[in-house]
Amino acid sequence: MRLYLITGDRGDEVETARIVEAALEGGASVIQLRKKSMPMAEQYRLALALRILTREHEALLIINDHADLAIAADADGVHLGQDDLPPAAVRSLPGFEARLIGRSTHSFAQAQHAVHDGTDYVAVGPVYPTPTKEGRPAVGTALVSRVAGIIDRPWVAVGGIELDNVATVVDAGAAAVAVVRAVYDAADPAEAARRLHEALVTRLEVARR
Amino acid sequence: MSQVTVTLNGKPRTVPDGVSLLELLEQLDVQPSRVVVEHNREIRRRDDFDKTQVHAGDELELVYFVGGGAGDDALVVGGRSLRSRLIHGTGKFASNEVLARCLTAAQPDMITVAIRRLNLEGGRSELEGIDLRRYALLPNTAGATTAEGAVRLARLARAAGFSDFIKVEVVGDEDTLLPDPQATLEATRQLVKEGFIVMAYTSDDVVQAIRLYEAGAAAVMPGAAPIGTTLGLQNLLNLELIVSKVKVPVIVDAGLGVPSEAARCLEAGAAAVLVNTAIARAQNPPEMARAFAEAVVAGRRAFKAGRAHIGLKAVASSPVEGLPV
Repeated sequence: MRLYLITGDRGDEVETARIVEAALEGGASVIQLRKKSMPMAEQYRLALALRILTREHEALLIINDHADLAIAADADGVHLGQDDLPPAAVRSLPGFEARLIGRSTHSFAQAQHAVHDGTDYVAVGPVYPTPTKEGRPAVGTALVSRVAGIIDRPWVAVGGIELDNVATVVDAGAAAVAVVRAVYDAADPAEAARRLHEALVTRLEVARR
Repeated sequence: MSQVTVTLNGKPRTVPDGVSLLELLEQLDVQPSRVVVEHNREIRRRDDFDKTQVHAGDELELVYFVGGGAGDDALVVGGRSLRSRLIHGTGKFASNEVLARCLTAAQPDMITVAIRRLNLEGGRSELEGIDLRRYALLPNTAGATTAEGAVRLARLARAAGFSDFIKVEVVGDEDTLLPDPQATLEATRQLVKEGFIVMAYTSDDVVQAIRLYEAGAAAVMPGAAPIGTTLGLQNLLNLELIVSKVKVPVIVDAGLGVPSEAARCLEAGAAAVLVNTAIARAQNPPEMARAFAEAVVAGRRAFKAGRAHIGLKAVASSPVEGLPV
């Protein structure tokens, strides 16, 4: 549990599915399909493949941005950015009532707002600078702590999190983390996921005393 | 050490200057494990009792645990021990400050949180000022109207590290908010298969409760009355029948109004009660929270003591045998 993998842009359908399968074997429990430049027809095929893999592992499949793709591929939900459709609008789409809606937030106000507007889970970050979101200033662990203090629903910390800093993020109050690079770009994604997951869970045990 | 005056539970009291909370509790003959200490309006962690010093003018509030003896009669759900048999809701409170005072007064071990709010209008979704880490969180799937939706919310809650506990709640009718039996059963089966500790919300239907138990629910949670009505226990017989048939804790959830009803549930063999509206909407919520906490202790004690036999013939309480007529 607790490890959320976001796919990187690199790689075709086959490569992406292979990495996702490895991450699932390594302990990832949520997969977000995020391909900013892949044509939708390919994303659809990839989503169908990921749907089969995530079902086998009892993991959730979330689609970045595209609510239509989420419905078409019978994914568990959609992840929205601040500039995407509002969650309430997505919720009212036919076929979306029973699916999940997540949202990226980059400030305390955005996180507060997200829990009021029908979002099922919130991503908070980027905690550290990340090439995935180039140009976006890191919010640091201070925001993680602040959000941890108020939030009563599922949330993940995201952005530049890797094996070396995951303990710091957990200490700041996170109980789940989302990563791209640390697993997707690793030479051995299964091993990278396993080690990151283990570091996360171990630190959580310590934090609980 | 010079003596200074502090305010203890609203009354002035003389203590040695700089005395630690731990020493003070010893002097007062209070077990540190049986009390919550508010020091200058801040809750002090038990670990910090020896480090926290008391000085002139400090305000201290000692809140005693009202739960039953720890360990000896704990409620065990899915392998987790709960000292208090009152599960506390977190919705519908006027403010977080009121909720915090209720939690301090009732000392629950487990509190409920909705993953998806049913009513987004004016619904408070954040629990600022409440240390959630002190409680076992029971996330519920309220907001789901299908088994599929409930399973997704449960998986999300677990993936986010909430806990393996999930209260399966699938609304079957929007007016009464009563649960959908088939969808509840379906979601329960699936989530049990996935290793969740499922606490299943159900109406007071006896056979449905049995089916949920057979499906592997760690606790069955029949409603006393529709959610939020505070109508109280509507069908005592069904509760007794459920308790007699279901071999996991039966936790009465929803619809209770006053503490005597909570006590009645425990007397009838319910393992615990879940209360939200009756506390949140009471005239004085913290006092009502404490009253509910006391009621479940009394009800549980009565259940264990075993009630007297019901007789239809009057029998004098003062024995008359052997006395001259």
